[in-house]
Amino acid sequence: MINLSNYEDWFLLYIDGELTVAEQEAVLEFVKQHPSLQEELDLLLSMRFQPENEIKLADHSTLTAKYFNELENTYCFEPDLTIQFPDKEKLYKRTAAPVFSIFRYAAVAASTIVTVGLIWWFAGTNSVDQTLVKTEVKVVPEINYTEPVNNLPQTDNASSSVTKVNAPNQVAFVVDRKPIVVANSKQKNTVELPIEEEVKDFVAREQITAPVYTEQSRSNFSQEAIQAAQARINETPSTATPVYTSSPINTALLIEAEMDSEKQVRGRGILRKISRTLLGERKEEDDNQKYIQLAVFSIPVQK
Amino acid sequence: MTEREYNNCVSAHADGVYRFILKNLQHEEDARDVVQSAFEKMWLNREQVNSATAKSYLFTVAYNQMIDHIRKNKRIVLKDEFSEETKIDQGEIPSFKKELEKALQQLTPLQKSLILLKDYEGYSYEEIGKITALNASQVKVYLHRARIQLKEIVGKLENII
Repeated sequence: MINLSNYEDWFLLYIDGELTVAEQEAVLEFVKQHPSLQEELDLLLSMRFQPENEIKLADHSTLTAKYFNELENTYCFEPDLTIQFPDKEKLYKRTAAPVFSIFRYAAVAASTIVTVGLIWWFAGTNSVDQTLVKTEVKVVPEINYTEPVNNLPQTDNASSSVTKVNAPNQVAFVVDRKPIVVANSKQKNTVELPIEEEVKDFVAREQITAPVYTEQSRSNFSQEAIQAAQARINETPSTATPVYTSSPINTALLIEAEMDSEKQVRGRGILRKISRTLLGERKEEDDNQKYIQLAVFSIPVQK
Repeated sequence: MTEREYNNCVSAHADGVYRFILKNLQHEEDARDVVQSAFEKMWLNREQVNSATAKSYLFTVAYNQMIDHIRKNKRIVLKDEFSEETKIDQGEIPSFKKELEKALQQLTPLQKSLILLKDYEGYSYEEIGKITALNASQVKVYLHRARIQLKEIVGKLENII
């Protein structure tokens, strides 16, 4: 209900025409009861804006349907399809880059594989060749005309009792990896000596003139072969019997070759196993078979 | 809306829309451009416009285009306002009606639109809300605030005189 605290809102609603007839009469009755508020109501009523009918749009012709229809019909252009862009080929986008990149990556991958393969192949081949170069040493066997050897092996303190003569024939000992592998096999009853000891001997003395049965017996010969050799030695005359023995150089080279071979066995082991499987190669690691290893030759010993 | 209904709408409401826009913009050419654009839009959308709501649609489109025009030409409107003050300094004898018109121009475009839509066209709060994108309560509050502000401006001008 209208009162002194809310009469302004009622006045505003009154001049906005938002009141019902009853509410309008209530406002007029309230103003009669409070004549001092009549001036305020009149001011608000005078502030209403009346439409100025003299203000008119001068020309309605530009708003009519006829005008817009003429616009659509007059200024409507049909496309001339005979006009075509001459260089349409230049506008096409051909994104062949991904295909090119695939070939490029494939080429890089293939070249990498080929390079690695060649490096692996030649590295393996070179190392073998180097081994061969290192170990293919023409060794002039020292023919030691010695007294009959009674105690085998004898490696020390023998130089004084040995007459050193160069053999007329030079025998080339070609040491390969293979004998080393065989020599390392524990099933072949080889006589083993500490390698370090032999190296020390080689370093200390440039040449060993003593018979070096131990060298060969350690590395290649089986126990039976050693015994057979000893028997032959005992049967031979005691004077001027040439005994072919390998020099300590051979021992050093064998050690070197052995060390090199250990490096190579890892890389070539797989291929060797494959070749054994495919070619049916004889199994070297026969427990019952014994061999005499002479240079690159591995001679089976009959039982 | 048929072509005939559209033409009847032009005859019935073109002047009213023009007054409403002209009172806001105070620029005849701009007001004509706005009215022209509003009727053109209604013509293009005549199939979606109902003849019964054509007037409301027309005022809504005209109001939105007027607001866009004011935003684009804000500097020009300020220049016009300064020219109005210059006229006051020239010592013309203002009548109450002129003072009221000047006071109206000091209101915001929304306040002016609310007052003119109510006084000129007699729209209800709800109808004004549809045109100006407000609800009826907002229209009521904003409109009453605009009238009180207008009363204060007129009172100050009377005191100066």
